[in-house]
Amino acid sequence: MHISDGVLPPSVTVVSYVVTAGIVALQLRKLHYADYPKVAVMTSAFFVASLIHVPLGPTSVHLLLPGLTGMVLGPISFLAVTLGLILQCFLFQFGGITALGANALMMGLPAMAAGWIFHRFKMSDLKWNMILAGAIGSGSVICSALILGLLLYVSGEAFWGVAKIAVIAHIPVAIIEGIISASTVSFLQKVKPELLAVATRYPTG
Amino acid sequence: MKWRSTLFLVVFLVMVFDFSSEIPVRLSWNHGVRTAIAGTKEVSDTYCARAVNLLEKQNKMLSRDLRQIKRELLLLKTELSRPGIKEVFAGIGYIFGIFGVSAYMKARAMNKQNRES
Repeated sequence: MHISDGVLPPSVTVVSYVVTAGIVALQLRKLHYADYPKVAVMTSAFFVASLIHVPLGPTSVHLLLPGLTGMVLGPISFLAVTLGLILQCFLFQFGGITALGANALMMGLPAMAAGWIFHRFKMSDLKWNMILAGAIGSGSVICSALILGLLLYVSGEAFWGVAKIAVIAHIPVAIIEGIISASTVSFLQKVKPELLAVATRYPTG
Repeated sequence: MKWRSTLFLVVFLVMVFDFSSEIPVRLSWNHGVRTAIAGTKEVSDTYCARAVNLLEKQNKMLSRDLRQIKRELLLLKTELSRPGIKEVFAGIGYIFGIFGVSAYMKARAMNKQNRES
């Protein structure tokens, strides 16, 4: 799910670039140096995840992992997602350079929302956290599909048509991501629970 | 005047050579010669047909081979455009490098602060 060059009109491109740059600048100021390694690891995980393709009929879709990135990194996940997308764009030719801002918004906003929801509702109960992580992992993929539909709607497409196609195409990915998110979060909680503890840095969490 | 005579000569030569194939037929009242010429014509016709047939067959084979090669080229192109292990490690290296450099900057700034205070 990457928007290519020339799909979006210039106005949408410029606005999405500006919004992305603003969020990234805010997060760079918020970034604590103790978080550097964690952000680096999650960025590389996000970057590589897009290479894992799930065959789906004649075409194939790939993992996105915005949910997991958001849950581990919290509010600074937008930074990780943007950096990962920049590198994917230059090294893998996924998505266009002009659409980078839109792609970052598409993946980054669900990631931030996922982090916020996870830290708002998580408990010490492992099973509850697993279910929550699975739901968030799936939901974030659907959410990015909806943002994709919204971005294309702003550029003059029919919203429901595009959104329906995007959501239907990503249902298998959403299911797989839910499973992966749930298992990863349960593993992290068992092995290294401090990796999931970023709630204190949320203003409302 | 010279080019006119040259033109005339050329036209004359063309006419002569054009009709030259008919000259034996016209001149010979002999039946045998006529049939012989007709026979060679038939033979050459069958040769021609055979050659055309062969060429068509070869053409078909060649175009089939070409199509296959084109298909393989396309496959190779998509294969090449797909990111490989090199790109993956390059990206991971970039990420760690960027964060490493920023950590280094941060550490230097903190060291400076410590020394000043």
